[in-house]
Parts: sequence; structure tokens; C-alpha cells
Amino acid sequence: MDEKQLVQQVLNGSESAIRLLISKYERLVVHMVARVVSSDMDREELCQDVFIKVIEKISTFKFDSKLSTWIATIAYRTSVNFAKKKKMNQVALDEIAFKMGSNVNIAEEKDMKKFILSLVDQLPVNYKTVLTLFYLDGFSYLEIVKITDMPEGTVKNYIYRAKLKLKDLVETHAKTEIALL
Amino acid sequence: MKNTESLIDEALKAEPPFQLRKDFKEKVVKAIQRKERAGQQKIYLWMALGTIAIVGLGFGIVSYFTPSLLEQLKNTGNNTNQIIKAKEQTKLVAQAIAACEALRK
Repeated sequence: MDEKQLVQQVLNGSESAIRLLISKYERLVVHMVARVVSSDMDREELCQDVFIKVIEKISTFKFDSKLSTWIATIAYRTSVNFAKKKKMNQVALDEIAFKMGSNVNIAEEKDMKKFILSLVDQLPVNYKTVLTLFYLDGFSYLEIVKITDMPEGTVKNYIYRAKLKLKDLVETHAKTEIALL
Repeated sequence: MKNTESLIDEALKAEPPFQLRKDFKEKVVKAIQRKERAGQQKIYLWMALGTIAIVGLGFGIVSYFTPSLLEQLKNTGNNTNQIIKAKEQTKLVAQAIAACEALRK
């Protein structure tokens, strides 16, 4: 079933089409929500909100972008609004005092990835969402511009600065660990 | 060991461990149905309120511009009551006459 048929069937109120739409796009929504929100209960609730909004507003989808881009826009706005309401990570990137944690075995790749993801969790919401859209969902810069309504320069800058910050933190931490050994 | 940049890239591409519950789809479908029902009930409520408002407004307009019409209607009600009473009295008289005649016989 292609996008048009799926949208048409959802518009006709078909429950199986709604289930199919959820299975097709749940990963996309989970990626966005799980990066922004830390509590599993809030995540589940937020994912539900996103899909209810998608179904309610699907009549406004005009096929001027991919359905995934349109759904990602709704997931992004819902997550960002939730973060604003809860006053999460509102500080600027340079003002964050990153918690580095301990017991990170820098020689273990798995440990290092976990450590990097713990740093990603501490990034400001806008950085996290842009990184997720780019790396996890594979959206292009232009698609991210459409989803987030940010200028292209800002999107590129967020990705560049976030990666630079992560690299800097990882290398500093690795040096400290080596010095301790 | 890989260099930092490729490690960061791989970490960013890693799937989050969170998964939705198996009955998530059913929950969403039910929530949508609940919302639709609530929406319909709202429409019915507004329709009922609208009807009451229109009837009330109509009554208000009529009573403002033609108060005599309402009095006539009230009188019609009174007249009807009088007719009913008269009918009942006639019945009682007829019953009394019938009883007297029965006694005379």
C-alpha cells in the first residue's frame, strides 16, 4: 500500500489502516520522543499524543512532502512543547556543566558508546532533536529545515557544534582516564 | 579502537532502548474512538442548546412585539378550563336527574 492509499484509508476511518500507519512510523516517533524525554511513562504518553494528532490532522496533509517528514514535524513539535512545559535543557550548549560519570572503560567500545549517549542526553533539546533527525532517521538538511522550521545554517551549525562538543568531552575524559591509570 | 569521530557517529545512529508496549496500537485506536465520541456528544449538546436558545428567542420576540397574542393564548387556556368544568358540571347534573327519576319510580 502506498502513502496515498494509506492516507485515504485512514481518512475513511479504517482501523487496520491506522494500525498499519502506527507500525510504519512508530520507530520515527519513538526516536524523537525517546531522545527528548527520559521517563518511559511520559514517552509512551507522548507517542500516543503524536499519533492521535497525526490521525486528527491527516486531512490537512497535502502530499507536498513525504508522509514521514510530515509525521516527524508533528513528533518534533509535540516533543519540543513537552520539553518547554517541563523546562528541560533550556540552557545554551556552552553553559552546560556535563556530568561525566565514572566507571567508563575507555578501551571498551560498548562502554564508550554508552558514555557518548549519556552526553547526548545532556545536550539542549534543539541539538538532540536535530542530531536524531540527521543520524537516526536519516533526514537530509532540507528535510530537517522543513521539520524544525530552523534556517539551514542553524541546522548545520547545531550538528557541527554538537559533534565538536561531544568529541571534545570524549577526548578530555579519555585523557583524564589515561592519566589516572 | 576506532577514532572518536566514528565512535560518536555510531553512538548517534544507535537505536534507543525504549520500546512501545505491544498493545500500543490498540490504545491509540481506542483513544481516537473515545475522542470522536466525545466530539459527537459535544455537537449534540450544542445543537440542544441552540434549539433552546432559538425557541427562547422566538418566545421573547413574540412577547415583546405582540403581548396581546400571548394574553389571547392565556385566555384560550382559561376558556378551555371553563369548558371542561362546565362539561363536568353538566355530567353531575345529568347524574343527579337520573338518580331523582330512579327514586321517583
